[in-house]
Amino acid sequence: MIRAICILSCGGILWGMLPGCVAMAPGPQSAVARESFGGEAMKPGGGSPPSTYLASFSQDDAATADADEAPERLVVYNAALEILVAQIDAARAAFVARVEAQGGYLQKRERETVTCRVPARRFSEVIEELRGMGRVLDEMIEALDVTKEHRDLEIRLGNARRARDRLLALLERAESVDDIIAIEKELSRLTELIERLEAELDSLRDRIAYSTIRVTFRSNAPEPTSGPARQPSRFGWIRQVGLERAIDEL
Amino acid sequence: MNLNAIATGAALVLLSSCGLSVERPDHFILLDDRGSELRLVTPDDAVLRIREFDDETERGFLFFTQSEADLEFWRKALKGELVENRGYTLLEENEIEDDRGRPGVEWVFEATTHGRPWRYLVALFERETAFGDRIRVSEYAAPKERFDEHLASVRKSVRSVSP
Repeated sequence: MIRAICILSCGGILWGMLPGCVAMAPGPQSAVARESFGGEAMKPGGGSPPSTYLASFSQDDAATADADEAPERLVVYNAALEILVAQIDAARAAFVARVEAQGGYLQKRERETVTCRVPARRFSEVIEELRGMGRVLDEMIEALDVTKEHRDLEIRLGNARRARDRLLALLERAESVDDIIAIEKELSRLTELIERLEAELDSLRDRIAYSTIRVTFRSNAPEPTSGPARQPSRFGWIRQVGLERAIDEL
Repeated sequence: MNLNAIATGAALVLLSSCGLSVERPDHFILLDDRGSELRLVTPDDAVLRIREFDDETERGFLFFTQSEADLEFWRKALKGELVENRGYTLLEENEIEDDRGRPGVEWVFEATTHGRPWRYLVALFERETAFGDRIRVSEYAAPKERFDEHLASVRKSVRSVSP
């Protein structure tokens, strides 16, 4: 019986690892553009990657994709922009308000930099609005093709679940205490694996559903200081009056 | 031009160019007398400085001058500078008169300088002369804890300044 558990477990593990190896080997394919979009409309989300993203693949890739009948692509979009604005606070507040209006949310705010998550279908729209808020000093847009990573996770999760179901069936038939202990130990390991894979899959789906936009606002206006509220007097005699001078000039 | 007019003019010039004099407050010594500026000090860091300035807003020549600014104008200009630009804390503002009945204004401020709190009194008068108005400014500064020791004596002295 124990031998059967071992064979089943090892088989399940090997089966589970196979797609993992496939996923690890090439890694997610990515397309990164820096200041090269020039306002070209992007269409993030499932089946319609932006044209620049497609352009980053070779013709062979395209041919292969066509041969595979263009499976639905899962893409994670990220952007990082640096924008010159007149007033940082006002621009930052306007950006966050716009993101929220589009169904997104503020993830992090640190000095002049804000990181927001926006629904992937609104990504292009938000980027376009952001460009209109000031002068774009730097722009990076990244599209990560996670189709394979997503599929591998689903396969590994399915395998783990099936292995767990088989072990549960074995557990019902187990008679000796040793068998029960061995099966439960393996069940515990598989449950942990399933939970981890589910979390990874949830995280990946979240990254697909919500794009991440990181914006750093810069201003060429002088920062307000806590200095004098008005200019020094235009009258010479008034500029000569004062506590410091009264003390220092003696 | 006759001799009388010349003599009168010369007398007026002499009178108007006379140096400042003051009843010396208790414990102060006269450190410096530059005619239009007096400097007095105590051994415990209190200082009294009395100066006169030309009115920069005056137009005209010799006996035919006219000032654009009056005491109220200078009052606002100086107070604004000290409070809003220098950041002094205004503690008191009083309308005063000198011993000759000229109206003036007096402020007491507090400010931190050289790492310690100081109190600072400023008295402002405007004096008419044959050649236009003169602005008289008296400044008394002392470390906060010693300011009141000399205050009454200084106030009396500031009102006594002549001409």
